Amino acid sequence: MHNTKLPVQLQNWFSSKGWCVRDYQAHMLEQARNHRSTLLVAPTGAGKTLSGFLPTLCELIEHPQQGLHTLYISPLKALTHDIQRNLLAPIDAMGIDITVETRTGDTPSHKRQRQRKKPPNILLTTPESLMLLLSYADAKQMFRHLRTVIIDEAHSLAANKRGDFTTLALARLSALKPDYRRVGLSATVADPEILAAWLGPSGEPVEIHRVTNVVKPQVQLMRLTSDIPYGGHMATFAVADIYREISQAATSLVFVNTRAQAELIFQSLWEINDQALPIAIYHGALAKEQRHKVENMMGQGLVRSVVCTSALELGIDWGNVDLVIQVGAPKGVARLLQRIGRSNHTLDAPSEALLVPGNRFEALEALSAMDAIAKEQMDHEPYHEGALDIIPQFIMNCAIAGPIAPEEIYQQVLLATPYGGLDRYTFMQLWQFTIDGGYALSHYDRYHRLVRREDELFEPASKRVTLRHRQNIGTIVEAGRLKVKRLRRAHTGKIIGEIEEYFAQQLVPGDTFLFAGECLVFDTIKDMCVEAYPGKGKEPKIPSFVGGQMPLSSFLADAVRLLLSEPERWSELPEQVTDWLNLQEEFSAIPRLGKIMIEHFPYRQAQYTLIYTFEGRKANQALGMLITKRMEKLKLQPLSFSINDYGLSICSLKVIDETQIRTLFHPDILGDELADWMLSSPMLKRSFRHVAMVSGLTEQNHHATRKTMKQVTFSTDLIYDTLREHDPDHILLKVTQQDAERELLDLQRLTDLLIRYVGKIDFIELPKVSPMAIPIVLNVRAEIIKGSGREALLEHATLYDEAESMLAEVREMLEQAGR
Amino acid sequence: MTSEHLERLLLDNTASIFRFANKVWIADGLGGLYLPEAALLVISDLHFGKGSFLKQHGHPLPTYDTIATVDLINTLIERYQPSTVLCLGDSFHDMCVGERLSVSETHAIRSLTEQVVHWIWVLGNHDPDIPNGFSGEQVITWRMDDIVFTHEPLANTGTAHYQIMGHFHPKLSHVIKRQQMTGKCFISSKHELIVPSLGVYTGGLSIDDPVYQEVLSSPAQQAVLCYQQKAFLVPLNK
Repeated sequence: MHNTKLPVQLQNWFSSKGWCVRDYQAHMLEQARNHRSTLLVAPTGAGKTLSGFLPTLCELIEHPQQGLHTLYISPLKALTHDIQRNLLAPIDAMGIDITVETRTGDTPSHKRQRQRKKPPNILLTTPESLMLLLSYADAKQMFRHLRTVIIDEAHSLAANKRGDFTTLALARLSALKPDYRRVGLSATVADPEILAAWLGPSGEPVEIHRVTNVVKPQVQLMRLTSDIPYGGHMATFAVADIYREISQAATSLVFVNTRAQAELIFQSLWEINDQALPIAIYHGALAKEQRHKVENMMGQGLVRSVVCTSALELGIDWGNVDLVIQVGAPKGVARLLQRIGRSNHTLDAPSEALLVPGNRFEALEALSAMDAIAKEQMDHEPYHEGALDIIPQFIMNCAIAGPIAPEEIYQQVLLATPYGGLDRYTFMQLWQFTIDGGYALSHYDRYHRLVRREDELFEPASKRVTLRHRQNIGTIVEAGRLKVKRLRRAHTGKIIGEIEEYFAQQLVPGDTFLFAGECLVFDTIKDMCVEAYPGKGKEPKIPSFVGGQMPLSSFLADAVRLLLSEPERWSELPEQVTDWLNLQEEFSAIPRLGKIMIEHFPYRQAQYTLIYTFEGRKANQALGMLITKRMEKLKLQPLSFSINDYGLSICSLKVIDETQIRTLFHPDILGDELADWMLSSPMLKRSFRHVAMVSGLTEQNHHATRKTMKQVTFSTDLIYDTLREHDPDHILLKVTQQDAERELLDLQRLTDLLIRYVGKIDFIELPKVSPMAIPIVLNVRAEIIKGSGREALLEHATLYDEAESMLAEVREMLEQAGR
Repeated sequence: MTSEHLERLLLDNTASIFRFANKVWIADGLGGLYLPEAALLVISDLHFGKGSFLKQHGHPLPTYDTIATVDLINTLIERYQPSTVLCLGDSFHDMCVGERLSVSETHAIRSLTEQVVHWIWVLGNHDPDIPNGFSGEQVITWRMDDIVFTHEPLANTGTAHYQIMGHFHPKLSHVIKRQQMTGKCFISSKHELIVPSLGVYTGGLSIDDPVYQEVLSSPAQQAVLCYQQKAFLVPLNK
């Protein structure tokens, strides 16, 4: 035991709870005393968050102060409310004077203004709200007493765009208040060193303190009484079994992978809920009132089970959860552990979890994940360079707070670890883009966003620019959203959440859809609101959420491949899955280690080629693009391809033979046309859409929902095309390519793969789709190949005979005119 | 324009042929409409200056759209060698485009209008007036035989039986063998023909939108889909 002396009030509170200070909590106090930045890595349930705040509470009790002492950053809005509750309880119990407030997008504007003038001692916020705070001229004033910044769930922020954004906010904060301390709290990760480097300023990783897990969680496949389907991810087939487990546990969390799945599973559970168990639904698209209601009911123990998405995965403390049920593939070991950790929120008892695979492939994934947990293996996320499209947003944010010079901002950007290697030339291109778009051939450069003052510093061109930036800040790629209003009578009702604009626009009055756990009848879109009233419908639609997809970690993909090559382990799988594998072996073959298996078969009026690479989505995406390009050249008329983590499926009009496959699957497809092909692909256009939004080129255009305006709004695809043609060296095109390579493509891994597997192809022609191919060809998200295949399809639609007679008419007419 | 040339365009789907108002028309995959018997090229909703219009409000958009649209029109003129070009309204995005156009853009538009015998600007809601310095006839509507050319639909076409219009920027999605193809389109009913927008920064309004039911006096019969710069006839018999 460390000789830690807590202030007497805090010591009494600990004693009243029957707690003593744990070793790592003492360590955190020690680090604080020496004013050292620290990363605490501990399993879920270890009381990380309290350890993070303990030093703050001590310091504020010993040296009460006015103003902001500790800033807490959480990736989730909901988490800030939860932490506020958990902090206020001991503060009230101890009767000490420490103020704690939250500040998120939900905070009313009068409160936000007051917080800037008179900040609380502890402010709980999100990265976006912090960036917004930094855009005010009085930011320096507000943060002048800041001692500590706590970054909670740091592992979920590192290595993604939001994390890059967070490091920039921290760098800016360092410029305003150089000596604050950074404290990162993280669940167990494979490489804490990467996270520590990410958390500190460039080149100064913070110190790491690790808490190891003593008790391994108990994870099992759920006993299923109905057949696991071949395809699909929704797992509705297992609802009766899920219900059985829910009714046997005192409290449970049912994790699903997408919001759509949450709605569907929730609805299906209530359809068979003959015991009328209190089952709730929780996901990020629900209105905050709805979410608060569920959170409160959970807190009071009024709910038996909650069907939830990753929105409940992080930190929120809900007393005693006996059981976690993961529905659908776990996608990653770290993610699964995080979810499992929601159960039995104490360190000393094992967590219990059941896995429900959505299809037979997912059963393999589930078993592989269970093995990895037993062997204490983790998937690790590779290190990324910072996303460049956030830089213009950052520059604008700084300029709005006060006049800036490029060099000053460049130095601040370099302080953020993901941007430590950013060269000055690229930064200056991004700077110029922020000012006027930075177009080489433009004479419209008199239209600026930032203007140069007499003292050579830059400031926003107008109030409008400032306002628009603040409205769009933190736009880290989110599709346009519309609020859903549940009508009681004409146009009056409650807002219950948001759905994506794209989905709303498909609805016609009378259509029904599932949302917030009930069936709604669509009426109209009015003032940015989808108006709908409760009702019944035959086949309600399910809102889709584009952002909801989770990629499988490559670690798990490898584990699945290994499992396939070891038939002796198959006995651990449910019997029907083993049957499915045996059937595959009989009908086609099982992919072998060191070989690439390729199946080819007719399916649904087209030809399908299935390539089992097990190299992860990004390599498969790149392979799909290159192979279809070569197919286009060979006139095989490719139509589309779809990928998953195990392989890719290409759909074409023409049959492909073994010789052609060898030509297609050859390293020389990485030729010089690659870049051009990539740049014109729909995938890059999709990346550009994100880049355009994040960098401030376009905004989330809510006008688009007003039908009369629709024909005047236009897509970023059009901008992309003109830019490529008229200004091919423009910085945003470079950013787009970087973005695609980072998020979507893995050319390096693909190159290795192509070289490694020359002459090692198992090509199998089949009369129809193989058992193993079914889950892959059923994948609905496909990349479209523009080219001769689609033209051939459309040609069939043209009416030849009539065209002939019309042409004859014209011919006659033209010949007469020409004498 | 020879019939061999026309045949080649139809053969590789650069253009598609269809009948409307007892005449045979050629719909080009770039979005232009050609009437061989009158050597008439119809283009609509060019929206010159849309990029710079948005840019002056602080959107850092690239403003290559005007030149890119001019390039498209040049391609069409070269392809069909029309004696008359008819712009079906909204040729200029707003009333102040004239002040924003660069010398080279003004020059490019001017040389367009000078290379054909007869250039007609039908005026639209965005451009009730054409900026100074551009030649060509300005009209509210234009009449040829039994057809009236107008930007927005006319409730009363007088003695004309048919109208050809722009304004709506029609587009459509067509699904064949589970593959979806989306692009701008021409759409026609018995008495009305709507031409797609040509301006590169113009979006589209799906032909599923109820507004088309109001505009078309009878159900739409066919559409020509512009896809990958080619034209494909799509029957709309529902």
